[in-house]
Amino acid sequence: MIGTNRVARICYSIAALIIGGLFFFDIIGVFGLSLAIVGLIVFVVCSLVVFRLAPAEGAPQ
Amino acid sequence: MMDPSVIARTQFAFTVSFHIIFPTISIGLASFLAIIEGLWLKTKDEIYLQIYKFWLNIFAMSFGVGVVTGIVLSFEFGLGFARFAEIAGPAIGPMIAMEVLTAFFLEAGFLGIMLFGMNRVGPRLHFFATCMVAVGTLLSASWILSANSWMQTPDGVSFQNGRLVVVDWIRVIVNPSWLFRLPHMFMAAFLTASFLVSGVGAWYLLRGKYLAFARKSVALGTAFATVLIGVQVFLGDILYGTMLHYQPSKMQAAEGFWPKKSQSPAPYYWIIVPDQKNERNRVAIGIPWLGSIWLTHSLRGRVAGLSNTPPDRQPIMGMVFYSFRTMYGIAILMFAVGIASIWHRLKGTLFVSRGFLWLLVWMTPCGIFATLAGWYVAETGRQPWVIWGMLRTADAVSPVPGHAFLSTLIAFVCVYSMFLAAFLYFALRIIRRGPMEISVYAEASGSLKNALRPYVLDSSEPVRR
Repeated sequence: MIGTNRVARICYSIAALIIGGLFFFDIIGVFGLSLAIVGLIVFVVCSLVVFRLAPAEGAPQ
Repeated sequence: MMDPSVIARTQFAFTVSFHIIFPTISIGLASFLAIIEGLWLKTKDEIYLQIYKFWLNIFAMSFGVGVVTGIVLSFEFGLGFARFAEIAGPAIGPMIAMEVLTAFFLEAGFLGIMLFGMNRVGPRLHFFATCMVAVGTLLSASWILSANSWMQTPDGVSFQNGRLVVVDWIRVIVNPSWLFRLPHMFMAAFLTASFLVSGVGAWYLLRGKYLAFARKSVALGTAFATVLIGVQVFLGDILYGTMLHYQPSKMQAAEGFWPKKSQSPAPYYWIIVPDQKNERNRVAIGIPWLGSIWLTHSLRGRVAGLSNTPPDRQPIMGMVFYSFRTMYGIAILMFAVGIASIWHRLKGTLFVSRGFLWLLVWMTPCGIFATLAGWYVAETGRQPWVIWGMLRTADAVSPVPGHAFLSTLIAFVCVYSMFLAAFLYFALRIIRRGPMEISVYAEASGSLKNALRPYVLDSSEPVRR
């Protein structure tokens, strides 16, 4: 689904790191309890959407 | 001279540390197996049956070792900590009895059907048995967590004639920390199982064996782990706040701060060399600002230190601090693995990235280490109390000479080493042998409800009752 050239890979890796870090900071309550709950719901729903949209069984082997 | 209280505590620490590994695996695997059997019944995809049968063997072994090593703990309460049993028995006794009853009647009762009934009972009853075993493990853990949480945050009792008398059972069972510690422990068990499953799958992929089984294991394991670790860090933070309220000295020790109010903004320490006697750190290495951000959720927040607690009520900072850092460090790593798994899913490289697969292999036992570290935080952080604020650990030990404790400790180390060796030998043998070929196929029904209906046998289909 995502391009594999080197620059794009680095950019996507950094983006994943930032998004992951933000989710972690949010879920542990740095921005307050309500945002932590919202963050957790978004994280879980987004993960489930990814599992649905990109079922790993269909990945190239 | 040997201090009996130190050896009694070392013995209990050793036996309970060994024990907790196996219930953690069996609680996690029991629920995993129930989901997998449900998926098999729903989809009729043989791969789920293959996964079920493979992990059933390892579940059975961990269940067996867990039961045997758990019984020892009940005896230790009476033999090693008789004063504790005498004083706290009215509150703790019934909860442990309920745990044993749940374990024996619900889990052990249905375990026989789960292990040996696949070809002897119908699919509906077998699935029901698996679910009952899973429910049994969860209920059993609930009672133990209730008992332990009561020791952390005692409630619903009063002292009468030197003994604790229960005045409100609901407050004893649903004590202030139980509601937060219970889901935290459940998540720890589920995460342990998820990383075991994905780690074994990753190992097969790296070796190019049992590819269909391995792909499904990695896909399921990482999916469960990603969702669960999100929930776990959320619960962990809520629990942190609760314990900071009820057991401030534990959390002060866990953060490695001594001053009554730390500097602002406070760093987050990763390495310290504490000097307990002089209430200071000889060495402290951390990340600036992060302590305030993580612990007070403010850029300028100050963190209270362990000097707020009188020296005779302080836990040993080094033990609590490094246990907490181990648990938290593993949690961060698990979260990173979850994010990485989503990333690889999107790229379509979940099964081909050797670096990621090796990471999963190395992470296979991480749930066990994190759980152990978490329990060390809970138990060493509660010291010097065995029942927080009510009974000191040193006053709870039986009047038994140190050499008696030492001899049984040596015996436990020898016997448990054999248990561990046998468990590892057979578990690794099962993993090396790989999943069994499944010769029984069933038609996909497309719905769990239909799948749970009794089979109508077709003469062209292999018979499965």
